[in-house]
Amino acid sequence: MLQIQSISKSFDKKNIVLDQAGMVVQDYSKVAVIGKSGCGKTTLLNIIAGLLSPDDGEIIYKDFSLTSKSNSKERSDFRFNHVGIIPQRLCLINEYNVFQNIAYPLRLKGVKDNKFIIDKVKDIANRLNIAELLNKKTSLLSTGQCQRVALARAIITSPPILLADEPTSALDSETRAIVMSEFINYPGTVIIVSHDSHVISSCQEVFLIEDGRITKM
Amino acid sequence: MKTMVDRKKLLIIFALLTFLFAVFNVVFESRGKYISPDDYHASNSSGWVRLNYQVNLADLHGKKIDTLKAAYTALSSENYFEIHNQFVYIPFFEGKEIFLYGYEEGHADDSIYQHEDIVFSGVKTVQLSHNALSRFNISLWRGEFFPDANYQDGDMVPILLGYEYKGVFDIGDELEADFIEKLLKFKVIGILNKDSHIMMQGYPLYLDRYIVMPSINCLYSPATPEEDLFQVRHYVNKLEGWYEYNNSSQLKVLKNKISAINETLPGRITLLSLERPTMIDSIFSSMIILEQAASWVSILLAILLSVLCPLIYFRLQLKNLSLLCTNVLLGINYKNILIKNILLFLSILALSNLSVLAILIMIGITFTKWILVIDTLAVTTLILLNFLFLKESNLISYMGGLHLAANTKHF
Ligand SMILES: Nc1ncnc2c1ncn2[C@@H]1O[C@H](COP(=O)(O)OP(=O)(O)OP(=O)(O)O)[C@@H](O)[C@H]1O
Ligand SMILES: [Mg+2]
Repeated sequence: MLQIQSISKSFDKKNIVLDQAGMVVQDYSKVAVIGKSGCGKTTLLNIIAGLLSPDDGEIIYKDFSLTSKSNSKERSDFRFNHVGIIPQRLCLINEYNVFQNIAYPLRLKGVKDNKFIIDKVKDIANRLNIAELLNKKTSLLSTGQCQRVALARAIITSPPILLADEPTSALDSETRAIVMSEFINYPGTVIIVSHDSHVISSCQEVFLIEDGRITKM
Repeated sequence: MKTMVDRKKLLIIFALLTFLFAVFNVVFESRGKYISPDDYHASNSSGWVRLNYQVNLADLHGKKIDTLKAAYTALSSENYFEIHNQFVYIPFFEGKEIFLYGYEEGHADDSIYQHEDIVFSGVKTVQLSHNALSRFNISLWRGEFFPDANYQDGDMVPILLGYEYKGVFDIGDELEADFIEKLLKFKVIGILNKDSHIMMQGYPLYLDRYIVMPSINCLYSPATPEEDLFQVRHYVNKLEGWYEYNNSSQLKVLKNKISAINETLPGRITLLSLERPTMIDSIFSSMIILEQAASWVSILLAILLSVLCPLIYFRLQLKNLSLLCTNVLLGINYKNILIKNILLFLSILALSNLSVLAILIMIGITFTKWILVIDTLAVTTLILLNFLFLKESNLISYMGGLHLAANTKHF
């Protein structure tokens, strides 16, 4: 169970983004987070991932907890061990090709077995329909293709929590279905920020961020 | 796109400032260094100037030795000091390595050579005119000073030894020495007190490891071409003496003398200003290789280095941005990322700096202290900019879709 307990975050005094916001996400459930542009969806994901420190409140997952007092090492360790992220801007490494981008987290985790890495990357790439792109530089890909590469990179280490920030914004309906089935069947907790009604309707729960608060719909 | 423009502007301003700084220093450096006597204006009414005689030796020997001697006579006065730092070769030298020429710079070995079973050692020696000894308050530990006001060539040359020669040679010892390819006989007549020193170009020259010989005068005309060559070389040196003036009219007299001498001699005598050493001078004096040739190449290299380095680095940094973000995203601690990045950056810079310096030294180009100052300045600025640029919050905003530029606060 992932508990987000009365999280507050503001960037300056006037701009209070989250105000004692809370939500509970059961393990293995797939939830959507919606809200107007600039309401703080990305900020919420960043806090869950330990990229940002909340001003107040606590994130609890199993026996881990992140608070405003957690230092950057604790936060990055949490991220390293539990979280996979598909960020809004994707952040693929332009100098690497698709294969290298997808395999990168495995290498960071110290996996040395090349055959294992190749099999794993190929398997995921086949499922996401990007197998023929593996040798291309990511700078040559379309946004939709990049989104799938970022998804593949996020799930290759099978993190228990998957955070996706608008992962389908550039996909056609057919590809969106492929990606959504990947999310729905993912063996872990998935939180998707989206405006896309198809995505929202396939999630078990939907949370709305409004005026710094999170409400369940 | 806004940041790109801002960063470009920043780089251009930085490059321009570096360039201006370099130009300013070139102008500043060359001022008052080699000036014709007519243009020489002393900033103080008293001080030192050094004469610098630029001439092709081939134009002199065979016919000009008398003119040289006449020029020397015209110049010599109580205010004209001869302080030459010309080593002598001594066969079968018994002293330690510390007395050899180049010992302090670590190439004493280069001053030893063998000629038909005789090993010659280049031994540090200064040649002083009589007034120089009293001008610098040099005192004796044992023995006596040179007997005559100006020592004449031909007989035994009396020498004084620095304090560290104590126990190596004694008063009364006689040595043979090759002084600019002329064989002389030396006789030790005294040993100087510890820490005796003379001032050269504002820096003290300690005589403890030196032989002090009088700057000899050659009274007879040379009978052989070899003797002629020796006298020419010796008198060219003697014309590069130091002049101490107490008021501007003394300086004016000197200038007139030099102008008159320049009429009679090939080549040209100019004046070198001798300003007091500044702090930076003292710090860098050991690194500076003084040379007349303008160090344009080194300046250009330094400018290139200081401008190209930030450009290349920021280009790389922009390319790196996605890699850095991905690392943050995948849970690598920001501090590790930063440390790695800075180390990488420093090593790139150190390498380029070292290679530039190595090239300069290899091709024998002088580099002045300013090159190092510019370089150091560039390095420090870059490290500071690097810190500004590589903030964790910048990377995180970048991922969230907030373009770096949107957060101008961060810069
Ligand atoms: N690093 C930051 N510094 C200052 N303000 C920030 C920062 N990150 C986010 N904000 C502000 O916080 C608010 C919420 O931003 P956030 O990116 O979470 O919105 P969002 O809901 O993801 O919007 P969108 O749907 O457009 O992606 C915005 O007003 C934004 O300007
Ligand atoms: Mg967002």
